[in-house]
Amino acid sequence: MKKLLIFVTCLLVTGMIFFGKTNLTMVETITSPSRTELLKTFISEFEALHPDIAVELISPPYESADQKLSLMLNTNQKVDVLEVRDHTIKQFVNNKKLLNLEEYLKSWNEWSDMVNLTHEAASYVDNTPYFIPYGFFVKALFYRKDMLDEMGIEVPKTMEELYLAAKKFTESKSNQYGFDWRGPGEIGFTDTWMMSYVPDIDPKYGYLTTDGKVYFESPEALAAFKDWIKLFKDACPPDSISWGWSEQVNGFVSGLTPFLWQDPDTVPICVERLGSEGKFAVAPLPIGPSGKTFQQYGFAGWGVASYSEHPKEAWELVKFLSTKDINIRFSKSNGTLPIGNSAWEDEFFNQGYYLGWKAMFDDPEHYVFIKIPFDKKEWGPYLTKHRDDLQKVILGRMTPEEALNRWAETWKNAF
Amino acid sequence: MKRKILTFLRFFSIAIFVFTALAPLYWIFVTSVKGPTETYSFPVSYWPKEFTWDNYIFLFKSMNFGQFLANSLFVSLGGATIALLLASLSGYVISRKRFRFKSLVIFIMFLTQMIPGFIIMTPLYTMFGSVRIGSASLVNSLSVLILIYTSMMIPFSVIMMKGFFDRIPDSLEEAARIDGCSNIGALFRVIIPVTLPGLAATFSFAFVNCWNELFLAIMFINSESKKTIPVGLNTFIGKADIDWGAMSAGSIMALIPTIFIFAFAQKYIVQGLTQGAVKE
Amino acid sequence: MKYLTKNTDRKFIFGMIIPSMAFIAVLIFTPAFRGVIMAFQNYSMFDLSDTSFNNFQNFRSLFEDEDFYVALGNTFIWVFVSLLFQFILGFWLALLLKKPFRGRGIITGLVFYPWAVSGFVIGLMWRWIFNGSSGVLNDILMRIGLISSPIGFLSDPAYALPSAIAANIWYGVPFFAIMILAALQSVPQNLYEAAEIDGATAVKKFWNVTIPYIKPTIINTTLIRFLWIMNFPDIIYAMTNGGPAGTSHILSSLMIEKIYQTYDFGMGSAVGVVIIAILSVYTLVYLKITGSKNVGDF
Repeated sequence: MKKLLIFVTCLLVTGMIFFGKTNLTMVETITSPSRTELLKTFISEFEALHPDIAVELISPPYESADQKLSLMLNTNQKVDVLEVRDHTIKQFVNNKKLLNLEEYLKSWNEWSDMVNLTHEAASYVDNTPYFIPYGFFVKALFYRKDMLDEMGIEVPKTMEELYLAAKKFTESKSNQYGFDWRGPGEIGFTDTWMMSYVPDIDPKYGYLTTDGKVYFESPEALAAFKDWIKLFKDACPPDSISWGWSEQVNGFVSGLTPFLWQDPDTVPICVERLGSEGKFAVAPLPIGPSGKTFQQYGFAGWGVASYSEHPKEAWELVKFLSTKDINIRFSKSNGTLPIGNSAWEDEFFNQGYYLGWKAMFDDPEHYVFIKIPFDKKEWGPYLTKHRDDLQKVILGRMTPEEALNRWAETWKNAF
Repeated sequence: MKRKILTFLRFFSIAIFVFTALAPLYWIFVTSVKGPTETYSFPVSYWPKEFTWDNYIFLFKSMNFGQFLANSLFVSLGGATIALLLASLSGYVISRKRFRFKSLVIFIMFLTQMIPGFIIMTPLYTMFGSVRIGSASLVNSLSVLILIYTSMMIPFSVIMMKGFFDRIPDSLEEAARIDGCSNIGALFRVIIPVTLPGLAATFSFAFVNCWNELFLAIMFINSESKKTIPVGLNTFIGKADIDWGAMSAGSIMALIPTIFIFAFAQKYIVQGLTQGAVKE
Repeated sequence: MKYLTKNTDRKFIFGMIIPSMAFIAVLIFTPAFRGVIMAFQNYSMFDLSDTSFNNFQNFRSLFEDEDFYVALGNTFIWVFVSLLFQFILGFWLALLLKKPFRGRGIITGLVFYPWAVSGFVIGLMWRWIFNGSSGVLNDILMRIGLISSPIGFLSDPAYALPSAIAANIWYGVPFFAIMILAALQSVPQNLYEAAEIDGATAVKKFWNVTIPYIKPTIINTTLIRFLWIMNFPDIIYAMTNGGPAGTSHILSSLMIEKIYQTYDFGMGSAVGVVIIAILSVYTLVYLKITGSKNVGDF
């Protein structure tokens, strides 16, 4: 026995010397100091399990991270595992930088435990699993419980109630408002708001109605848009038109605006600043006049670089990061919604803030998940155009009809 | 009486300049010693209710800020020094000698200043990224960053150094030549010492520019252990929030070396051109 | 210029200039050349499978875009207004600091520090100070009673660009102060003495002695700052990101938007080429008008 042990050890040592350690490079892009810290913990656990693999984590500052990753990939720098996001995946696939994970998935048991959304997101582009999501960004309605209680206002359940509640709070003389502009991703609010007025949205294509028309052309969309403008003029700080997410979250935390339309990864930030003594809570999105709310979802996850010299080891790392245990820990700290069925059974996601999201997932009749065309080349330019047009409409430099026409034009040719 | 009013006006103006310059700095400092809740509370408070050094402790304990400082010092000193050395050679020749493509050389120096940084960045990255040594490329190296910073700092340094050399009387150099100095000998033994103040001024400009360079440092540096200060500060801007406390504390820390250099150099800058004030 | 070019001199000149030129040629002009080529290519990171030359398509869509003309107009306002105020205030500050007084060293260091703050930190800092709801500037103005309700410095198109310019002026005054102060120190005292003998007043001395003597410094600093300010998107990018509705974009911030938000490097480079073209023309005209033969005379 002892001899065998020595033999095996010798073999291992020679093997290690002969082949050396496998070095993996991993790039994250939605960076923050605390998340980087967490990922490093996971990586050291992974390295403990796989002593022959060493992982180097690259964490560029958030604002330039996607750009940097894109440059690294296009010049074939050493990257094995990378963060894939809703708006970068198509680009990476176009440039043939992502490995098709189909073969690897076949032998991975946990894959069948994932929620539907996870399967859908993984194969968002070309129906091919190019990455494994680690979580979802789904909007919900954050509200300042303390402020609503004080004013005796119920949590709004419909878009109209949201408007009325926000208006009730608004007292511009004392610098108090109800709602605000949703920063650089305002589209995540206007779309949900406007689609919920239109009865026949096609969940497959998001921007189309079931008869194949761009939804901006429907009369309901115009009515919805006008209501949205009313909401902004009656209940939002005029200044918020130029806010970024940080100002938006600050506005919520400081009590300037008691309602916030945000992703779950905002929860940890709000908890940090407001404390967890129930000053704020999260409710399902209000429902629109059509009786439905069309939920868009953002996602991000881990993929393997197509040109990686160690795809097997890289997959091991992706798999490790996607296991139930790690994903739950990641989601709890990062705030994103977890990917697995069994994760959703964890107590943490069945209480407190997460009840807001849970309620939406459990109510498919009212909350319909739609696909947003992240994968169209029009998407990137459209985001800037949409933002500028909205601002022009609010400033009175463009009519709502003109704006809708411009947006319809963009998408008419895209599908 | 008139004189008194003038003196008063003079110091009053100086006071306004000092106040305008310092007010934002004061605001950064106050923010850096506030707790997270107070930073975001409204109405704003002009002095922290609870004074805390937590943000500074966070920088050095969890963020490796000491390492960032060292890296920034390394690349800024390196870039500024090499640029200054090469630029004083060229600046000297352009100032002193007559040659055919002189105005072209000067125009080229200005031309570099017209090119937007973003037009250069991607091709530059591709250039260094495609040179391979083994499996690693030339990116993620502080030395490469120094080379790039050097090239960025050369043109302005040349233009400045030429100006400083122009003000040194030719007679000084002639004397050296009569003593049998060679071209280079004259430069190093006679001219450079007289230009020391000018060198200090140019150096401080180049240093500050390298110290604050952000976009190239983000693109070229991968490892945590090689990041520079601006990159470190930039990590406090997250997807949905900006960590103002840490950002302010970091900005204050980043200012200390540069203010030190400015305070040191301003003496020379003020003196700088008085040396050899007689222009011939 | 007393020495004629001899053969040894030629080698010497060559040897002294080559290192600098080599650095610039390899690390600035080579990539810049590649970048300029990109402006004529279909070069979008979204899909790099076809990066062929696209027959000036980038320029054509740029010139069809009304936001481009807004940015173009803003660029001139941004550059000229910033430059004018930076120069006047910088000159004034230099004059104030010229005569020694007690504590001048410390005061000089203090008023010079804005130049040492990095561009993006300045942008973010002022974005926070200018915030229209909870910004400290609005707070102060309201406390002194100058205004009754907060001003949307960054959200009102009438204020957005002026606010960014104000931040830029704050940042750029020290550069002129330093350069002009240095030049002022170099004016030979005997020139003033001679003027005094002729009975010149302080104002006359300023116009007839000081200004002519430091004219090369003025011409060159204003030229180089013009180039720098035009290529300085950091403040606008961080403060307003061109908004609201593109009303505060300048060309260089528009360029960042094309590259960062739409990944269109071809379009971004096209904007860059326009910037280079404008600056080249400006520099040549400026040098012609000012009659400066000695470019680079500081």
